[in-house]
Amino acid sequence: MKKDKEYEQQLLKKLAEGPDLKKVRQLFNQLFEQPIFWVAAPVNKDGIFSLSNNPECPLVKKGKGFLKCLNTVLRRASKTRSVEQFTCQAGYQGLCFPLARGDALYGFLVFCHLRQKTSQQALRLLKVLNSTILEKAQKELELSKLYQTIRPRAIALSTVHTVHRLISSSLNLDELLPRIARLTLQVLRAKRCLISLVDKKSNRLLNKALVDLSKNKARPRLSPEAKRIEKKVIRSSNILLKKSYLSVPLIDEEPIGVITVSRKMSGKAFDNFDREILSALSEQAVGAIKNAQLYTEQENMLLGTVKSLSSLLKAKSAYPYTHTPAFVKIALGTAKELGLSEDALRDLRFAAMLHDAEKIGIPEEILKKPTQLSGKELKVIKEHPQKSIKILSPLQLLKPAVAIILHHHEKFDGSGYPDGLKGEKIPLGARILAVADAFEAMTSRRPYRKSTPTTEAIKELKRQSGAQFDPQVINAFLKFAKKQSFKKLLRGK
Amino acid sequence: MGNLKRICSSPLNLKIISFFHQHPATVDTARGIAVWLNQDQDKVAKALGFLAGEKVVVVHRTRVTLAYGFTQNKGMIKRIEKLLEDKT
Repeated sequence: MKKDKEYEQQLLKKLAEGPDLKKVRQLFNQLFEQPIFWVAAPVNKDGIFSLSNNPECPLVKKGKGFLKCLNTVLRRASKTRSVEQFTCQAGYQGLCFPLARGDALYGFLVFCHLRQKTSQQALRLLKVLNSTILEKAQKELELSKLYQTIRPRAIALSTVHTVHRLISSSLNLDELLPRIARLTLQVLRAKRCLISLVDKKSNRLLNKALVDLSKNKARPRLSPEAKRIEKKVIRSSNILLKKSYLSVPLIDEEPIGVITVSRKMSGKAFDNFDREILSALSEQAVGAIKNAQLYTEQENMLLGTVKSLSSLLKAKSAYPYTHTPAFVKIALGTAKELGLSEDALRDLRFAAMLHDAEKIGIPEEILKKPTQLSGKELKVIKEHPQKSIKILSPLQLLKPAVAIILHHHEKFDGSGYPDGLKGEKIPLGARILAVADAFEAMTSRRPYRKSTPTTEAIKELKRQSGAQFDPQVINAFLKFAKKQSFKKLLRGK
Repeated sequence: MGNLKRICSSPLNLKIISFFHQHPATVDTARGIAVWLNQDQDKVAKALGFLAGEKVVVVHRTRVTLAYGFTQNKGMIKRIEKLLEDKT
């Protein structure tokens, strides 16, 4: 009932303040020489009241008799639901249009101080006009109400979609979990978020991300209370909602972890709305976490396969001088200076681990020959990579790594092998591997020669910049060579 | 406050700040926010970049998605509230 009254008032207000009624009034002004205009609410025991204007009629202001007259007309119109013509005590003509649709009566349009009676034809026309205006105002009000209801929900839905985009693009758990925590704090307007995951081996909850936006915090620390809450949630698989915190289990087929938020920015208590939001977010988080976990497992499997393959190749190779573990790190350090993506770094890593594959099948006497190779022997070496690389080719995931291995003997000026590729036509990974390979070869000792000192090796690389090596890669290598991590690598060689 | 007044002297900045103040739990892209405000996407993206620099909005970034949320700095939120009250 209260809602109906509210709706009536809103509708009348909209009608009274809208442009359509102003147009009707202008029309009346032209037709009836400036009549007094009213928009009135339905009659009740307290009498009528105008929403659009104060009683403009000077006669109404003068005495209650005129007001009584108007009330009588409104009561009549509310019963008949049709246009009522009336004559006031001062002898002026008036019109009262009930604003009604179906059973509902929303109010009245009243025009008084008319100098003459209105014809039936004009009345019919005005009735249609008023009905149209009412219908339009109703539709606009409904649209506006719908907009007010739907807009916040649409914005919230868009937020859910954006959060999904933000968390589903990461397959790295170390990056993903803090991101989920930060987004949770953003959406729930809280200061502290803790995410823990169940460790499959130990079956224990391990804290994986803790984001604390509080001021004056040193390092965020996990309280025993937080651990107790998490345990309770994971055991029961139920949401725990308290004034100061909200903890939701992350459930796939079974609980995989817990997400807990505390300290609302507003200082208010967490409520059921927060509970709904965090439940929705946790469902998205579970999907993203499972994807990242599967990806990590797959990566680890691939790395294991590559490691086994690498050991196998080394065992099968007649070449006695395998690379040190530092070799892979030098290649990766140089690549990072060049800003390579995670995927490109992975491919380069695999290529560095497997690049001895090219030596499989090369006759031992050529590989171990301490003196310069003959033209025939060099031909064997140059033609061999394409044949031997076939061992790795069936592994689709290693395709980019295979291209790096195949082309790391190419030279920047086009004088290398197997295809004589030049400049940027040589895969970037291969250009990086070429530099790391040359540095490693120079600085390693062989039975037939001493190792070249690091400074000399670097000088040689610089000398070959633009000829054998890509100058960009040499610059990146030089940057990396200045770092402590590089020096540490050399000490461990 | 002076700095915030300067920031809000741009009508678009003010619209964006008012939007986030009204919907503080929102996380959306420049495109999304431009839709909610019925404004040009490029201009909104530029304004959001500026507001992020002023720490009025928080950036959430991945390799492919760039989204924005309202500041979580209590002091800043209070200053914004005061400024919006003064404006109305």
